[in-house]
Amino acid sequence: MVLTGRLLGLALALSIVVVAVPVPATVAVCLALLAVLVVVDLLLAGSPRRIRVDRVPTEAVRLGRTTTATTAVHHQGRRRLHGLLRDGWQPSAGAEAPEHRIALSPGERRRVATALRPTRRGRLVSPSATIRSLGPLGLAGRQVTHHVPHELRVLPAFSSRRHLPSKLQRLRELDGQTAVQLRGAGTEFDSLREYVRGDDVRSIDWRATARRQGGAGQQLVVRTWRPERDRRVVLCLDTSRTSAARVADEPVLDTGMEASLLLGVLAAGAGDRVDFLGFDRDVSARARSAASGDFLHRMVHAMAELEPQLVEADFSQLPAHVQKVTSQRSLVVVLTSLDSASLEEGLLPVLPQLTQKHLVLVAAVRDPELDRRSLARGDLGEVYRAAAAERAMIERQALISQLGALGAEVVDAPPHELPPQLADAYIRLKAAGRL
Amino acid sequence: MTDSHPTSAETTASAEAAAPAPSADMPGATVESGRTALRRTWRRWQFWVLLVVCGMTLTLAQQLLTTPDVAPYSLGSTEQDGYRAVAGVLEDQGVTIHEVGGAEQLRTRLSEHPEATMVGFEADWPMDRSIRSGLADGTLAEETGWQGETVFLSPSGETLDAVGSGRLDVEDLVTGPSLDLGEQPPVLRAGPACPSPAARSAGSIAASGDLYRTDLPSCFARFGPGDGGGPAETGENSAAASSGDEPSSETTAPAATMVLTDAGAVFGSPDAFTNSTIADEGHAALGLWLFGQDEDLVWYRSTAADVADAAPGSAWDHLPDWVATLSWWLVIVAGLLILVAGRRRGPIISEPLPVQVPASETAEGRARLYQQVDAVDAAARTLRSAHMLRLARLLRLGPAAEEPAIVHATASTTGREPRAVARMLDAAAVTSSSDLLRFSQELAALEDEVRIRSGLGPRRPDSADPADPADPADPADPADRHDGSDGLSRD
Repeated sequence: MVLTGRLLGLALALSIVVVAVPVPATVAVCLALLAVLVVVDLLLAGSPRRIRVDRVPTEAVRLGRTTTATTAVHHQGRRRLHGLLRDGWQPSAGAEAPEHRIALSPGERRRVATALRPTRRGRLVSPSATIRSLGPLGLAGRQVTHHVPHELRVLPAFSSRRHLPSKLQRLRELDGQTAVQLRGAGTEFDSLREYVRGDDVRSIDWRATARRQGGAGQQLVVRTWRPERDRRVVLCLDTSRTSAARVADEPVLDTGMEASLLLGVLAAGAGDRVDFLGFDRDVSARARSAASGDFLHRMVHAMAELEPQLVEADFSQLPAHVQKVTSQRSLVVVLTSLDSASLEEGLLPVLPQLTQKHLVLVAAVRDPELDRRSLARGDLGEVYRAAAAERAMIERQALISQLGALGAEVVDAPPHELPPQLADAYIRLKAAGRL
Repeated sequence: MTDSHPTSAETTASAEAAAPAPSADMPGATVESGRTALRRTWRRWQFWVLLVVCGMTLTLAQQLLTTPDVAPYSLGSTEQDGYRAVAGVLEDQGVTIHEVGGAEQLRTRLSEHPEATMVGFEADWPMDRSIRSGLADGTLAEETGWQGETVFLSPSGETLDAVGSGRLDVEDLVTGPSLDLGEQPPVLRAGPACPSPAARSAGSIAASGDLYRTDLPSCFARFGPGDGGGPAETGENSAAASSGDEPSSETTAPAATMVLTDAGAVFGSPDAFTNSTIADEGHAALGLWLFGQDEDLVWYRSTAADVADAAPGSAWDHLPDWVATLSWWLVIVAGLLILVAGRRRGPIISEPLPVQVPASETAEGRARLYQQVDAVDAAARTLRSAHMLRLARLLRLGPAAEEPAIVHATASTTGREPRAVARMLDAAAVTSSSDLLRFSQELAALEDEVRIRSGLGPRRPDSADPADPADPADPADPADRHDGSDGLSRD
């Protein structure tokens, strides 16, 4: 049962009667009047139970975008129903107005749309819709909760997308495809073309030029080169306990996702075959560019529901996971955190296995907070904190050297710079023909 | 919440059978019918409802089976502290007991029975003010035509003042040992000076209660000059102690439990007549003498209502009638407001929060440990190695650079004496907190100087790799330097 503000207003208005006839009986009569009205209203209200609530499936939405979730209601009762429908979205779904006025005649179908602005990645749900049916007087009503779940998948924001055009541009420069007259970098022979001014004279292919002498013109012919294509890139995103750390208002996991998305799209665009693995004790997410369809789409969907797991990552299985993906030499990118304890016991022992066959690139988020702290020397407390921060950084640096000694490349950058720096590292390796 | 409609299925074309939770009688609806819901709710709360009902039944049964009257000193109570025994004996002796509940009733009874003995018993509350003054100055007798005897049983301070006012000095009120102390109450004898035949026939009493110090005729004195019970058997209790302060004084009056005033007898030991004590000493005789002087006994035991009546008129009396009714109504409206505002518009939806750990927690913890144990030495060495490593990289000496090489290169870059630089970098010289502060600031300044001389800006928090000399120098933001309070580090 529900009582409304209108009933309260009526009760307050009846105070005039109580003042006008100040005997105890008046109070009893007014109360009885209210009770009768409430009962009548309750009996005349349309049944909120004789409603069918259906959820219209939502499309996945990227974090930071708005969307609407639609619910279809079908009135199956005999009496007109008017009142409220409240869609029970969890707070992070960002439903600004989850309550909708509804007025349904018997047999009527209606769709109500709730505008959502999700503030969290993952699977967001509205477990129930509550229908409040008010009587014709609007004094009282009945309320019933329909437990019909609604679901919305929120994909990673991919805010590092803004870096994509510039990185793709650099790839194209490497490729020799741009208007900039640069010889394509790389080691793979691409094609022969006519010499234009500005081409490096060292790239002139004299033999081909001689072969063309019989023709009309006196054209010089140059060779062009391009980076290798069809290389393999395996992105391994650590989703274990260390990914739950928050650095600069963002969990390490989310930074890793941004970096993997940028690198994945970039490498797929450069013609490489990219595989994405999320792993902690086991593989928790997987996406491959070789399958049909948009790789970005598959990757964000694979990432959508990844959450940090409170378990230690099982790096010993990593070579096996990579082996399952490809037996070819590939670029294995491990996105993890440079946490000495977990890395020393986990990644370092298996790194030789990986570097033997693949090129390993370890990407980790560095905490700008430590740098900031190591600079503050204002008082004794700050000095101790600086010392502690310096020590953490020295340990980190030692770990980086250790990884380097084992043959792994390391990208260590603050959260916002990790995606572009990882992309740069990839481009650098590609230009050097190390893939 | 049950449905008022018939719940038979509607066989309209729109009925869809595949609802998530359809009930048999409502095809298509996504929630069970009212009847089913009610049944389910009942099933869930069944146990508790039955428990409460059982409890209430038991309580009610117990209430009905036991004597309702269990109040102390109540004439109907058969408990240890009840007066049922003395009341029964009085009734057997032909005394009619009229219990009255208030001043008005008392006046009526007194005018009906002009010869009756009146007992004014102030066990918990002082008696009605008008009755008290009426008894004290005789106006009650004039009003009602009543001329009987009065017994003040366990009178309040106000009553003592009133009946003593001008005619009797009640100088002190000494509280005797109470039953709670578990001590035997002292035996008090009536004493030769006692004028009351009732007291003399009783001989002695042994009950706790109040003692009154007075020069009026009194009986059952604790001790006094020359007579009474003498320095009674219980010398260690408070009454004896307080009286013992002034035994030599000529004016020391006896502290007695029964005082005969003009207005009537004052008796301070209601415990003497309870069911458990009535058979002791001379209690029964005293009780029958005191209460059985006439064939009618008006028993006035004051209640809280007497005090309330006596209170000066409350604010309500001065307000118009409608204020009270309106207040009642507004209380009801407030109740409605609670019901209206307290009804949620659906269940509470919880947010499954992900695990997130602030990252530089361990560094923060280590800093506090350093500070707690004043690890000046460890902190200095850590700072020193951090700066040495960075200097080596800044000066492009390679990761394996030896200390003298770094010192030398630093000295030549900054134009300082190599020995001065070596002294600045000497962590062993740091022995106190102030040393550490100065040491760390000097190191930071030295590094900044080297950076500036190498064509880089001072070290800033935002640079991607502060140790990388190839790092392009951005405009510094010194405001950021001191806000690193909540940071964390993965360690």
